[in-house]
Amino acid sequence: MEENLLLVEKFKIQGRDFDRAGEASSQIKTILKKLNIPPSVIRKATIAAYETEMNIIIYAYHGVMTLKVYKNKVKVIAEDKGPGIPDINLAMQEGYSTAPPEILEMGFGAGMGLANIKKNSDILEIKSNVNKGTTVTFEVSINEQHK
Amino acid sequence: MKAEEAAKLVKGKIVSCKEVADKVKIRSGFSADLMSDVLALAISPNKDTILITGITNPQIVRTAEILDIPVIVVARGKAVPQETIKLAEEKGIILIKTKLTVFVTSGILYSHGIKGARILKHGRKSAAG
Repeated sequence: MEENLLLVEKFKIQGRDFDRAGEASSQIKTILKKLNIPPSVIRKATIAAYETEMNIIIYAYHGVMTLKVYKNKVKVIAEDKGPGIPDINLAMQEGYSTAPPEILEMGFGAGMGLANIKKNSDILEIKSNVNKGTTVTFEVSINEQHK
Repeated sequence: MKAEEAAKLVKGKIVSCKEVADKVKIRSGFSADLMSDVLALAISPNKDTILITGITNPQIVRTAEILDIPVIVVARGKAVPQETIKLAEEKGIILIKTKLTVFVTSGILYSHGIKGARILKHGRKSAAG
């Protein structure tokens, strides 16, 4: 499907950089708008990207989010260096969180992030190595009914 | 209802993008402190939803930006940090601060015709989408 690839863009994310938290997702939204991606796809992809970006900022040391836009889908690959997720099934459960209180004060860290990414994506894959890092890959399809 | 009118009704002060407060219209609202809940549920397809929250950090602006929410009310009299105001100015989002609680703010706006924001219903997902 690489021949249907329209655009690739990489964003560096720094762990604990709360001042810029959300900036990559904001840029992703701008790029998708410029490419005339259907609004419902932009919505899902940017929500999933924002939760992914927040996860890197809250939990990891640093990471890279790669946006790949294809004719028929939007794909985001987020690779981070960090503590990893020991039990992915547990982390996927709504309400499960290991976030410290200061994150809760920001309106995040209530254990909804991964569930939100799943709800807003058509394909979600999480690979994690404890003490090394996590790779989250998700795709949002651009269906005929969107066009 | 114009954002300016909403600010008056909740005895609030507009702290960003004041110059467009007489132009931006709101028709629906969503109240939450948990931004993940806002992201999971609220829809503002016509860019006319107001977010009412007790959270003050820049993440409220990011969340609003991602969801096309043009107006945010920060309730409970909390001081709004300069970086939140700065980001709101940058992103064109109107911030209103009020001493009223989230409950009372929501109630006033609701009683003046602001309806609950459309809520997203997540259907079953298939691999093919």
